[in-house]
Amino acid sequence: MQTQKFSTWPENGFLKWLPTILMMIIPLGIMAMLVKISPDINKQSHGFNRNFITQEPTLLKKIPVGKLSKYIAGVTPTDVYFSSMKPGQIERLELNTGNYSSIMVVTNPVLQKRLSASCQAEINGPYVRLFDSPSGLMITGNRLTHKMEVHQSPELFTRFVSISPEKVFLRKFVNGEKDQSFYKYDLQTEQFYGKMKITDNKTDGGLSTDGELVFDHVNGTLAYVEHNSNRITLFDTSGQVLKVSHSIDTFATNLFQTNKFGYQTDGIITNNAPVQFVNQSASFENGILYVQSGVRSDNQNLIDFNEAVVIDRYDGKDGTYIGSFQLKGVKDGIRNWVVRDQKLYLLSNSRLSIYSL
Amino acid sequence: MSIQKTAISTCKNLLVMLFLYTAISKLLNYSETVLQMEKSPFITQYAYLLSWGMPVLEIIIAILLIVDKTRLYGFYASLFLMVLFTAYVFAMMHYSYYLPCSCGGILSLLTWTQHLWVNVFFIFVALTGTIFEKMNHADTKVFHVA
Repeated sequence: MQTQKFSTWPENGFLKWLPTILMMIIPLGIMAMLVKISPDINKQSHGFNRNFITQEPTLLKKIPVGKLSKYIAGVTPTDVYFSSMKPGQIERLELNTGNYSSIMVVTNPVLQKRLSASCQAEINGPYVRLFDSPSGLMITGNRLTHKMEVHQSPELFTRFVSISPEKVFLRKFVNGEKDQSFYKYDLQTEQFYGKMKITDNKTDGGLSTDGELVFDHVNGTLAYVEHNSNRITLFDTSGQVLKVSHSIDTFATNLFQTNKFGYQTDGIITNNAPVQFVNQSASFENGILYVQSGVRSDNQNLIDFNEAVVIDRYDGKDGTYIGSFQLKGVKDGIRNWVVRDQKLYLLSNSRLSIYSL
Repeated sequence: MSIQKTAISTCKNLLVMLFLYTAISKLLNYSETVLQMEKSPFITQYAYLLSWGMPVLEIIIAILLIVDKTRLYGFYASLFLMVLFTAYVFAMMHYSYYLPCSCGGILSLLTWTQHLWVNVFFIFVALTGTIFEKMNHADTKVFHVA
C-alpha cells in the first residue's frame, strides 16, 4: 500500500464551509431568543405619553476626566468635583482649563482604612462632605481652613444630603425595625431629629423602597424619588411633607420582588435580579425636579428609549408633570448626572458632558 | 514557516491569550462576575451556571486551540463564542434597559462600544484562523492509495 499526501484545496461545495457558517449563525439565533424571552416592562405599552419639549438640550462641551472619577459630587462656577474611586479623596476638574487633579480629604491612614469603596462626596461651598454608608462615617472638611470633623452614625445609612453646613438629612436603618426611616442630623450637637416615615414598610430593610434623596438649595425643598414605584415625596427642611406625588408612568406599586435578594460572599445584601427601575435618578434645582425614567411611554419606541437618557421634569412644589427631554447616545458608560444653573452635567466613563437646558 | 502557518499560529496565540486571560479574571473575581451577570437582563436566570461555565468553556477552547489535532475544533468554538459575545454586546447596547459589566480584568475598563469593536476584531481573528486551519487540514490530508 502506498501512502500519498496531496491537497484537496480549493474544494468546491457548500458543505465544506457549512460548519463555519453555522458557527456564526447559531449564536445569533441563541442571542435573538434570549432577547425575545428576557423580561422587560418596556416591551409592553403603559398607557401614558410623554410631552417632549421642542428644544432639545444643547451640548456645550465635552471634557475628558480622569479614571478615578466615580460620581459628580458638586458643581461650582469654575470647577466640577467628583467622588473618587479612592476612599478619602475627591477629584476636581477645572472647567476653563480642563485641568484634572485629585484632592486628599482624609489624610489620617487609620480613618482612611475605615472608608469603603462606596464612600461618596458632596461639595457645598467650601465644605467637602464624605459619606461612607457601610461604616456610618460622615466626614466634613473645609477647603479653606483645612479643618476636618468626623461624625459617626450609630446605624448605617443609605441616602444622605446636606441641607446646610451643619445639618444633614439621612435615610438610615433603625434598631429593631426591618425598615429605614428619614432623620435630620445636626452635626454640631450630633443628634438625630424628627423620625419621618415617608416610605411603606415592606419589612425588607427598606431595600424595595430605595430611592434618590435630592435637595433644592434655592427653595429649601427636599424630594425622595422612589426607584421601584412612581412615588415622589416632597418635604421641607423641617421634615414636613408638602406633597406625595407620582411620576407620570403607571407603576404605583413596586416592581421589586423582595424575595429575590442575593447574598454576596462578603455578606452584603444585594438584588439578585436586574432591577428595572421605574425612576432611575434625580436632580432638584430651582423649583424643578428632574427625574430619569426607566419606563417607556407609548409615544417612544423601545430601541430609542433604551439608547437614550429620558428625563421628566416636575414642578418642585406640587409634583405636576411639566415635560420631558432626552439625551441620545450617552447611555453607554453613564455614571450620573446633575442639573445646576440651567446646565446638565453628565458624567460617563471617560468624560464630562455639559448641556444647556 | 509559510504565511498560512504563521497566520494560524498568530490567530491561535491571540485567542488563547484572550480566553485564558478572561477565564482567569472571571474565576479570580468570581463573586463580582456572578453579581454582574445577575444584573444582565438577558442572562440573569443562568448567571450561576454561566459564571463558572463560561470560564471553564474558555479554558477548554484554549486547550483545543493549543493541541494540534483539535485546533480546527478550537477555532470553530472560538468563532461560535466570539459571535455569541458580540451579539450579546450588541443586544445589550440596543435592547437592554440596564448596562452592567460582566467582563474580566482590563476589558471591564472598556465602554460597551469599545467592547463591541474588540469583539469584532476577535471574530475576524477566529474566522481567519478557521479558514487557514481548514485549508491546512485539506493540504495535509493523507490518502491511502492501494
